[in-house]
Amino acid sequence: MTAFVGTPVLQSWGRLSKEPALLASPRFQDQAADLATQLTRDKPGLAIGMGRSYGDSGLNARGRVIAMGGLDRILDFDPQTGLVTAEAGVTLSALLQFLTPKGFFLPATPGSRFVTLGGAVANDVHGKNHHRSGAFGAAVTRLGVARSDGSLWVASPVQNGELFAATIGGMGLTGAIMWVEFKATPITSTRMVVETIPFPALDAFFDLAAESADNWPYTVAWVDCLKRGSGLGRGVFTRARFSDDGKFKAHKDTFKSKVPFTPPGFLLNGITVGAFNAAYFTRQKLRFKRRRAPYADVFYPLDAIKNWNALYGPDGFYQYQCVIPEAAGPEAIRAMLLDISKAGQGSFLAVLKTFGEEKSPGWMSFPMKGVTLALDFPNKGRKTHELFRKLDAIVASTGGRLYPAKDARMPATLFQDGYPNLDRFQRFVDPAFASDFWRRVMA
Amino acid sequence: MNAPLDTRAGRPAAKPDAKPARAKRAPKPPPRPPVVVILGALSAMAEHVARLHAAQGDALVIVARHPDRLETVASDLLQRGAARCETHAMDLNAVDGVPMLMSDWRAGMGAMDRVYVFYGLLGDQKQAEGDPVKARALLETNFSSAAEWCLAAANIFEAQKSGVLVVAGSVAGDRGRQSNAIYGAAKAGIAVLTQGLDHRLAKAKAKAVAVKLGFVATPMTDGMPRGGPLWASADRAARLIKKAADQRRGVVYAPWFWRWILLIIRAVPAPIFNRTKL
Repeated sequence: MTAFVGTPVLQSWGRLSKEPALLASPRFQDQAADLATQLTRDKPGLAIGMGRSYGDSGLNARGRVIAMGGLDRILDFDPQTGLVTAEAGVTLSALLQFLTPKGFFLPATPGSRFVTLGGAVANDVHGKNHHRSGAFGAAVTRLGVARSDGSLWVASPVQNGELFAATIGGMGLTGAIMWVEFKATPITSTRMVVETIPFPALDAFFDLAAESADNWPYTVAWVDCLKRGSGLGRGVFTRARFSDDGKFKAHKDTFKSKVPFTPPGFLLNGITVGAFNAAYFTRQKLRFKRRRAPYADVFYPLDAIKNWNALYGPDGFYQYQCVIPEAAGPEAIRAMLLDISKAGQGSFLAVLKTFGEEKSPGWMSFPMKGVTLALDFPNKGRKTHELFRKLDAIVASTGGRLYPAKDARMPATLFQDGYPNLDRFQRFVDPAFASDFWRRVMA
Repeated sequence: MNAPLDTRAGRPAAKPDAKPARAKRAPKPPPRPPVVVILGALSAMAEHVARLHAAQGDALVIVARHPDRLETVASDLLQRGAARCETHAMDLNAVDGVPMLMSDWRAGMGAMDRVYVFYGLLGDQKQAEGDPVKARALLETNFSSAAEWCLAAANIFEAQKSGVLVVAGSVAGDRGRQSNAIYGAAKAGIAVLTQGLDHRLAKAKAKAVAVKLGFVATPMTDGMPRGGPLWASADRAARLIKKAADQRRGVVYAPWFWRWILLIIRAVPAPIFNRTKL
């Protein structure tokens, strides 16, 4: 029978911590449910997926962890309704390879397809179509959860509705998600029409986002977060929709390149990133572009580079993702970009996107109507944390919040203030389930 | 899940001298999908082999002990494209009338093109040494019971003059070692049996393939320290096994480098080998 076995080190995507864990790898639902019953209040555990959360929401250092990747089966699919039922360990990549030839796509997708279905639900992931369709949880119709007392639950909006609302975005704390049923989105092709539009400063982003909202289901912007002065917040706006050529071809999981070793941390300092941003912006700036591309190029450009997270050096990196409510958006983002550009701390991937009316049923869901900014920062210790404190202050002053899936350091007060449903969520947390994140923000 | 096969017979072509102007040649009936039986289908490697066959649209018969798990696997295989997927829940070790069962399945599916024998118990060598009941059980599962199924499959293939038997074996059978002599003995036995069946089936244009696997990362090896180039994933091992069967090879080491490792290990003289802790 499967058992918890010591692993040397279990890291999350940000590679900030290097702690061991006791890992069990079930292959079947009954095994996973049995493992859940072995967790206790004194020795709690957590079900995990692909380890793509950046911080510690998917970690339980020196504790027990149930790796759900072996539960990767597709149980049912209805081509009329698009309803898919699959075990929680199946990756979004495998789901796409299954769905796209049949003319369907995921209702929402994060920036990597190498996350599990259970992880997508536990973090209520969102993507470039949030302004239209909400987060992943909005498309979930039913799910199965195994708790440490041996109970197995089927939850939906109308059955065990509170457990349902607690589990979506619930960071795996309500129990081990066993399977999920969700509604896939019908598509007219696997190829997309994409427009990339350079913009000279932050205001233009908000104009472009407003203008694109009706006709473009997928929008996002990359922002140069080191540019100061009048060009503050310049960037490239991308908008996309599926084409209608009726051609359906699934992506392949091949890697264009791989980071062969961990480069030293000083590679990513203000100068190199600034130069990169300038070069990237200049290259893009030459013209407005419209092109056709397969969906994998639009949604998962980074997935082509295996272990790109190693580029940040052996000390790892932080992701900072916040959401600012609509009214305060432009001012707050400007203030944050000002602080970041003054600090001169590098971030290749600063992403800006508008969120739409919140449609997710999850109590702990991160998005809200407004704008989200997501950035990577190499771990430079004290300087990095000082900058975060400044950014936290801006976020808190607007009534915004940070995203647990990305977080490794948010103060407990910022978390508790940012999530008004925390009290009722807590009632559904399984006493034998815990994560490093949860212990940190609830201390 | 157990939907009957479509009838695929086309109409017979018109006789040559009957109404030539109107007679049209009937379309050839589409080839029926190959029928693949997997014994021990719930093991990691077996499930990956099943998925490869499902992706090809083959018809599957999966056999293992746990009925609920089998149903889940069958649902998945059907979603992945299997033409159909029969499940049979039984303890392969403890079944009477194996030949009869096999014939029944063949009759039910209309044919039997490939049989994978995929089960075994690594067991605990130390325990088995001291406990004759455990030792016998280990030999029973890994050799005697596996052998029954191999013989039944071979008889069917010989009679129908086609088919491939694939046995998932182990390099542990190449040389007896103190750390798993009993398991190794059983695996050696099954490898030789498969070889003998291959010899016999050659006249009938059928085949028996023995795949000798090295370290594979599956639940069976959960207790062992893993990692390094010698370890294969269950998915990789499954691809190698299926490839060996597709190519109708004889005795195959998977991955290939084990052939050379075992060549060396077999060549080490006993006085030297016996001083090792292997």
